[in-house]
Amino acid sequence: MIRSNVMRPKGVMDVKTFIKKRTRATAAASFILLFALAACSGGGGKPSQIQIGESGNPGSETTIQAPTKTGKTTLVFSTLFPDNRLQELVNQYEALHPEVEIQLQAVQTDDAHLEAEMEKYLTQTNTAMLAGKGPDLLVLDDLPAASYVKNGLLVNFDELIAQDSTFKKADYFSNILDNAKIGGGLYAMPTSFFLHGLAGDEEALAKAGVEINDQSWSWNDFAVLSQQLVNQTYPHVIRTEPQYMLNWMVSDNLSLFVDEPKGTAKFNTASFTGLMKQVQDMSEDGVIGLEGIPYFFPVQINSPADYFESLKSYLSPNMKLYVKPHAQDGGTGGYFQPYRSIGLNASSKAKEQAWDFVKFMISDQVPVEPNHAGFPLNKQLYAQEIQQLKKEGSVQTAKEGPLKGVPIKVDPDELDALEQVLTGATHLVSKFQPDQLAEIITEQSKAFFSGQKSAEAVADLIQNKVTTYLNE
Amino acid sequence: MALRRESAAVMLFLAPSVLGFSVFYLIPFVLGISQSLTNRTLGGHFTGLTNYAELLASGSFRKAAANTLLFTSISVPLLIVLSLGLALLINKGPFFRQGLQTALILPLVVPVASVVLVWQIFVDWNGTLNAWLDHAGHSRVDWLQSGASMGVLVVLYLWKNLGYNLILFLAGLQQIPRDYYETARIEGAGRWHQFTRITLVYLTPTLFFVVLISIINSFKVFRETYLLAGDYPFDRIYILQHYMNNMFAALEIQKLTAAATLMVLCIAILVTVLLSLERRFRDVLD
Repeated sequence: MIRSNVMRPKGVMDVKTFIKKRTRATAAASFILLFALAACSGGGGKPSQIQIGESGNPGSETTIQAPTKTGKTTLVFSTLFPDNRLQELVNQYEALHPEVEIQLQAVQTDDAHLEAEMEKYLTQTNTAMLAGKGPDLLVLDDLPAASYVKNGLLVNFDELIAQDSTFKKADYFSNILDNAKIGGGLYAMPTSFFLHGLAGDEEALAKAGVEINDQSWSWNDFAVLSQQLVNQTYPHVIRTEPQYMLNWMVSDNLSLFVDEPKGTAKFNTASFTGLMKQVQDMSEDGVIGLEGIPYFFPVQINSPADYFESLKSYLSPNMKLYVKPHAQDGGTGGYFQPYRSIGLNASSKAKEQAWDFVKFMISDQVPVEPNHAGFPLNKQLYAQEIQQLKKEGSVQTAKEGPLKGVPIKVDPDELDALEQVLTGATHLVSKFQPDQLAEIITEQSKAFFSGQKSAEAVADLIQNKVTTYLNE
Repeated sequence: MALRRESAAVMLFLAPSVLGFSVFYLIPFVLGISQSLTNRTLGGHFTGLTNYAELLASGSFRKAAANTLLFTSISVPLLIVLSLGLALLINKGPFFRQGLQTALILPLVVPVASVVLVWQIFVDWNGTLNAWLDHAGHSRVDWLQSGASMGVLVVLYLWKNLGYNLILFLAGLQQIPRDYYETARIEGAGRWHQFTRITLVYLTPTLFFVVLISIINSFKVFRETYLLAGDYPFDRIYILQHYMNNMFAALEIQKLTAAATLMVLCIAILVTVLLSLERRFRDVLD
């Protein structure tokens, strides 16, 4: 206060204006910083790690909102793994629709960095989706699609199908369309799928006098049957490890052990330790084994050609594809796993265009090879594959596989059987929702099966962890 | 005028820090609170305290909160006593200072992930510690999957934070003038009296700070726990950050933000109480 009466020397003014200028400069710099931050969080990652399909321009969010100067509609299509089939579909679609530009983004990485890059892709995609940004379309195979649905981040294809008169459900494997639902709607369009089943030696089973109704059998039935089979034609009944068998048996008796709405678990009970001991007995009796030939191999069939190769690979001429035993209240039907499931972002600015491209992806316009991974959802596309298989008459096997490149003859009867299995698949197997229960049981029960801990100690640990999980 | 000019300069120098703090902490936190009052991240609407009610109804959240509290109330006093004791010992003479000091500060600079691997091998069911027990004729203990797991965590926490607290205490000890002790000795005060009447009294401001930092660090033990025991550990060491981490993985942003808000609230109350205690103590001292 005293100083304010003193005449101010000229220099002070200069300092003041200097400070003013500095303030302005700082403010400007901080705004730049802010924008840089916003851009980072919006862009979903370092551009160097994301390869852009066609254009070669670095992909940023702005390209989605604002169409480019030529008036093009731009769709951003994100997938974790680079995918030639998707790239081909994008190319063909763009050729047919010059007004649309599709940026196919994938993570380029090598084996050493795969896990870290996957983790990063997951967090970045989750965050972008929750922020109402993210790509227009995305491959959901490795993403928590069930959580997306819960948060309302995806478009329900059921609704789009209902509004779209050009969409003919009969053109597709409708059992897949009906059963690939998550959270009550078709939020992940399965452009193709795999089959899960058991490859079993039909003749040896008949010889043992065992009749299998694989449309409805359960894991409990399997356990009973296996007593009749063990150590006859083959030493083992199924090639697996006890901890997986335990999980299957639990899934078959789930309501005994878990009450999800109430958040209670009953693993520290005599019935669970009994189940563990039963599986242990199965392992000791030789029902379960990893060495030697069993009656059944768990298999994943990836394509019509793979169907022949997989069944013959197990070195018995009489193999048949059986439906995997069912879990409790599972109902009849086989198991399928969607491959290249496409999700449509609920915040997309170009939903109509995106839906049109999804329809193109599941159409029969771009044919595939019979040994291409995944049975196509489109029946016409599948028919083309079968036709080609029949024309070729045989399937070339892998040189490094058990058949060492010897071709297998295509049997039309077996193709009919395959079609039966394909149209009968009704149970969804997916990673859309992480299965914590199975993870905990698998991890903990290993100590029991290797003789490290008692059944009771393991049951208590499983009870402890599952209770935590159920009550979160 | 000068005052105004000075405060303008203060604001100017503070601006970058305030800006950074706002962008990285304050604004996200406020957004988090607003998230915790809605039912959905995108296009959600206001639901009041529903998420908080759900949170408190969750058995696992309550368990996590109780575990966190238990861990803090065991580990912090233990850490304070140990680090103060060691600081007094080192302060005594050069005999302890050499080597010991470096050894204790080393855990601060070693990357956690690499050390956790060693810990894992040490406390695993088939690990070193159990091998020793077995040799000694005792039965094995499942260190990470039993009541003992909290003990492992406490040891880990002590190991990690002892060095840091030690530095702080040593600095505090060296600030106490030697004359005080000399005078006390001449007046005939014994060691115990010197400790309680001089050391503890003049160390109290440091002590408050160390307690505060230790409490905050006790919340950070999650990183080690997670690396040791994964996302669903034995329920004795399932702490609040496990809950939040799992909620984040499941994209349950509302529950996550509600839990974070509650936790911040608790820490804020704790810190306020501590700081007001300190202020009162300083008034007494003056």
